[in-house]
Amino acid sequence: MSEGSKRIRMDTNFQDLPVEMMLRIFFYHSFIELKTFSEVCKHWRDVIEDGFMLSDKLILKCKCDQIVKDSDLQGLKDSSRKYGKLLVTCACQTENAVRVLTTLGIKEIRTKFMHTKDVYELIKYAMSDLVSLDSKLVPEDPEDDGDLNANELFPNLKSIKLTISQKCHLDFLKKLFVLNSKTIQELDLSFGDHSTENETLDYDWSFLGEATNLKIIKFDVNMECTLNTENILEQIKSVEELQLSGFKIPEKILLNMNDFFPNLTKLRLSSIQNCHQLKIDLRR
Amino acid sequence: MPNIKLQSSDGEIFDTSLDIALCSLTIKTMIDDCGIDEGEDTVVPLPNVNSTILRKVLTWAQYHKDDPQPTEDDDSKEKRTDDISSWDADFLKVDQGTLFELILAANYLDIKGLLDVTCKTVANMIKGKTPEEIRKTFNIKNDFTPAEEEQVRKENEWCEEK
Repeated sequence: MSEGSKRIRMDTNFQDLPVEMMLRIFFYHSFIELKTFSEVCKHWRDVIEDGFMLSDKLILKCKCDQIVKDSDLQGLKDSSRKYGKLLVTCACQTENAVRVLTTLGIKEIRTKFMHTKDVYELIKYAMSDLVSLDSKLVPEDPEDDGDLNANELFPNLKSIKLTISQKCHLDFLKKLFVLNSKTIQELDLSFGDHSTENETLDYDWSFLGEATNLKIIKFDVNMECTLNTENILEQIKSVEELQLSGFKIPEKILLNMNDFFPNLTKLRLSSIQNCHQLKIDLRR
Repeated sequence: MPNIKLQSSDGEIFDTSLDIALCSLTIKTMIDDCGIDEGEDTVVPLPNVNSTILRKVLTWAQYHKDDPQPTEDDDSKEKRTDDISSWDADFLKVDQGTLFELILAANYLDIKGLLDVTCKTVANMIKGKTPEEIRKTFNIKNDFTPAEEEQVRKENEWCEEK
């Protein structure tokens, strides 16, 4: 074999990799890194946008304390990216968040470390088509529980996710439920994420029973709080999907889950307080 | 274990133990489909892999032939890149061109273990780098106009993961 024909070209570079291989490589990186990588060149940007930042994965972070510029908002509106959710943190000015929501028509809100009154202030402006609220509530002064006006409805509000550490958070939840008892389908509650006190969250849960379309429920109890679990379970008998973690289930219910929840199609129990080894995963 | 002959794109024949060749699911499928009998002097052509790369691939397969079959469960796969064995790390101390050729070969030959470890190696090369450093590393041209670059940067400032 002559020298020439034996010479093998080894000048393959990154740009020669098929998209599938690029995605395999990018798979090992965090979202933050991927954002940086999307600034490398147009090809990388397109591969990353299409491969990872699909619209349902993208949420828009509301810029904190300065007033959002109109030009920035217009840029976001004109951009090819679609944002599924708006993330609002405690430092954000509600005015900013509301302008972003209304300009871009975002229907899902996630808040972090906000007081119930600020969350309410936000969702009040969030148009009637708010679909989902995911809120991490901060411990606060019980007097400071926001002012949900009975006239304000969210006719499209289907999903509520709250982190609860105080009774006033339950008041907030209850108000949302009372106002939207027919529309809410999904409830996801975490208890005691950052509460320092062992509080008794003894509560009248009958408002759950009023929610006739509530089908999917998730309870996650992280702290030593006393929940009236029997009362809760009594209210949600018609639920279809149930996921309980760190929950105390009365034995008579635990032994008869199928009869107690006649519509149940999916059940997941973990770290049940009164039955340590129990881990049930049921699909009917 | 019988041998099998593999032919690289530049015509070189590699007489290889069958259990090594079978690390490649592509070769396995070819053998299964064509029903190659033992002792028969069949040559499996691999038009997408040159001899230099095929030699490397076979060296890797020789060392890893007794590894358990990796599972296809991509969802549960951990996103870590610091678990490359020292043998693999040494094996992959090659120039960029060879590394990318190995990725393409592992993909074509369908050798998941080799594909994973080569992709992880490249992932480590770009980890923590700025866009400019990445362009320099891989000789990538920045084809954004300054205005487009500013737009991408702005949008990135605004978004956060689910």
